[in-house]
Amino acid sequence: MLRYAAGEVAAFSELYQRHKDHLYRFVLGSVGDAGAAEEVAQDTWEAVLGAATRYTDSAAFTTWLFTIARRKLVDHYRRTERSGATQAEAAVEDLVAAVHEGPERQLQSHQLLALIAQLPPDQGQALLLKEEGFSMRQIADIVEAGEETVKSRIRYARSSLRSSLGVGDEH
Amino acid sequence: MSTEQEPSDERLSAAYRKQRLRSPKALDERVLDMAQERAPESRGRGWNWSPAWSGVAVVCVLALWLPALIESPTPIINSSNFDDNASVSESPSLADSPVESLAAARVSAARLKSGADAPSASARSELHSDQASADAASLDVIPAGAAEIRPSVATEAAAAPMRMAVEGKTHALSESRTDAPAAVYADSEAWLQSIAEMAENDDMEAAQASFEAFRQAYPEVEVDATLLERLRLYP
Repeated sequence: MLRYAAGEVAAFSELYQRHKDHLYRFVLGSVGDAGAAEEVAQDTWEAVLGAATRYTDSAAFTTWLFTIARRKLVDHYRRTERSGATQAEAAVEDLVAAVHEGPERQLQSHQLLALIAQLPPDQGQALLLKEEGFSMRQIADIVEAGEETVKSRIRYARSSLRSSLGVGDEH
Repeated sequence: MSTEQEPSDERLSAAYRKQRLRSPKALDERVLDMAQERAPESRGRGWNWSPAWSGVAVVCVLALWLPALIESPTPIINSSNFDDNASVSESPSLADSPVESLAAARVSAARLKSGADAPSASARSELHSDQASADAASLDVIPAGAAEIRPSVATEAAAAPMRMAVEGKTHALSESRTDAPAAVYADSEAWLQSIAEMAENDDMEAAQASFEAFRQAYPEVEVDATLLERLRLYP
């Protein structure tokens, strides 16, 4: 990022290739809609470019990037008032049906993302970041919460997913 | 409760990882185009005129330009137009606007300078042009209402412009006049000292003219007999 801020455009391209898929999945899993996910992802990268000259290497780039993304998601939720029905609901119904068809039918990641998008945002984001390989400490930094809170959110998220699939929770 | 169909955490994670969704190409192209368009200027290419550096540049230009402006020759106004009262009334303290203040200050300074013509040519030669400029500069920086010119000053100035007595009420005024005879002449003793110095330098015409003005301003002050004698020796 510092190289891009110094005028090296190729450095950004390299950075983008490394992080773009992680970010897109995180955003898609948060909003549950491909169109909205593209929009939020683009807003995030636009903000990154706009802040390039102010970026310092005091924090890991990934933490910085996903923190920006999370804020863009909050903006998105405010705009769309997330409580209403979304395109993700259809995918969730499809996913639930698939699970009940039999164990041979595998969960599809896009279906899972759609299901995660139905979770409360804090829980869904924590789970997505965990699945993207972030440590608890990094997730805590990104979502601006304590590590214990993050663990709790992830636990609730998994529990809710199991419940959504209609197979009950482990006791 | 647990069932065989229940997706464990591992199964959920595996499902998440199985088909790694990728960022759409259209999005990639848009972002990379945006990065190209918004690429910051490479450092080291040309000047980076940040607001802070621009401010420094402006201050430097003003610092160089203002002294040159102050020391530039002021227009000489015909002494026949000289009016003592007008000189006071047109002082910067009474002007309506900063521009008018500046203009009035310059006119007053020019009139004071032109008053040097009255005593004699040699007296005028005694008047250092730097001093006149300094007076003008001092007047330029006096805020409205910050300076008063004693009514007697204009009269004194008609005879010897260097004797302008200004009671500076601002620090800027007093500071600008620390080495200026006008401030010195606010003190009768210093004035007499300057007259004595003129006499010692055999500039008797200027000394006599200055003494005459001194007498008008300070009729009650006793003057050293030696100086009086020396001035009287002047033919």
